[in-house]
Amino acid sequence: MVILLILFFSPVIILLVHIMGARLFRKVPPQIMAFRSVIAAMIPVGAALWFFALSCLEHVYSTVTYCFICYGSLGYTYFHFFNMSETARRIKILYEIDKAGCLSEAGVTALYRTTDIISIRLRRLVETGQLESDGTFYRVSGRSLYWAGHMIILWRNLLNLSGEDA
Amino acid sequence: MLLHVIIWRIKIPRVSSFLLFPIFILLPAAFLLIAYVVGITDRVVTGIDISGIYLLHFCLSLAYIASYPAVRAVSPSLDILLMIESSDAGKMSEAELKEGFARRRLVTARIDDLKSYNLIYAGDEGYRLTGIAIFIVRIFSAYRRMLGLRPGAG
Repeated sequence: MVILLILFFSPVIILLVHIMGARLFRKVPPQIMAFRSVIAAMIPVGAALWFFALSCLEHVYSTVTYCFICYGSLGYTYFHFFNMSETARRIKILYEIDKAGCLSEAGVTALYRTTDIISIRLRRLVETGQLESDGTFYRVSGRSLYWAGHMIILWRNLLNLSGEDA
Repeated sequence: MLLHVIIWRIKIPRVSSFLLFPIFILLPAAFLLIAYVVGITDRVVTGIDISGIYLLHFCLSLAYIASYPAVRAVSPSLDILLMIESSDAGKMSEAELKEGFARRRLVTARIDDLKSYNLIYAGDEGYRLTGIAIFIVRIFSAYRRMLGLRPGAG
């Protein structure tokens, strides 16, 4: 039961580590800091699991594997939650409408233009090492998001999601 | 997962992201609870084991639900990477990329999404947030403030 509770509340530990990291290392790109926080929080979570439960268990390896899968999934979810706060168009639109009180569609698109969306993402992809730029042209340098994009296309086909607005 | 794929291939639900919660979180929880209460699982696993099984399923389900928005609504970041990699020269300028996205409804499609999910409604002078949307914005604002960050650039 202790193992389950520690794992269930591990996102709180990730959040605390992330708060410290984000405030101490302001120059680190936000998504990289979020990722590093998930990795760094493995230390206190792992220590808590070891001292309160794992050290007196018989089948340690299977339990460690179980903990790793649960923590990995929760850490991945936490990263996506942060990523949503940082990059999601829908959240950005909600912020803008909330700030203005009331906004027409033209008002939203004036504040948040397609060209801005591309520029912001290009900067972000360079900062996170997915793209490299020579000042004029962009090339793919990191492969992780690139392969994620291909897997997403396969999954969209399986789910019959087609077009932009599925 | 199988149920999710079958339903989506028959007809994609209007509020598809929202429906993942009952399919992945609530239905399995209900199934396990009923099995435990009725006593089907007594000879095989204990209540703690069931909690452990459900926690594993819950964690994996959350990870999938968190990934689903990127599957459902085409991510411009991933599209940029795929466009550059599939270009003849293997490189593109910012102007070329913006031209490639010119015909896409990057913002208006998301406004339509927000209307579908009843997060915004059209008033006389424009769109306003519903109660649940205000709650969501407050959560994200508080979260960003805890991290010492300004609201995301989108």
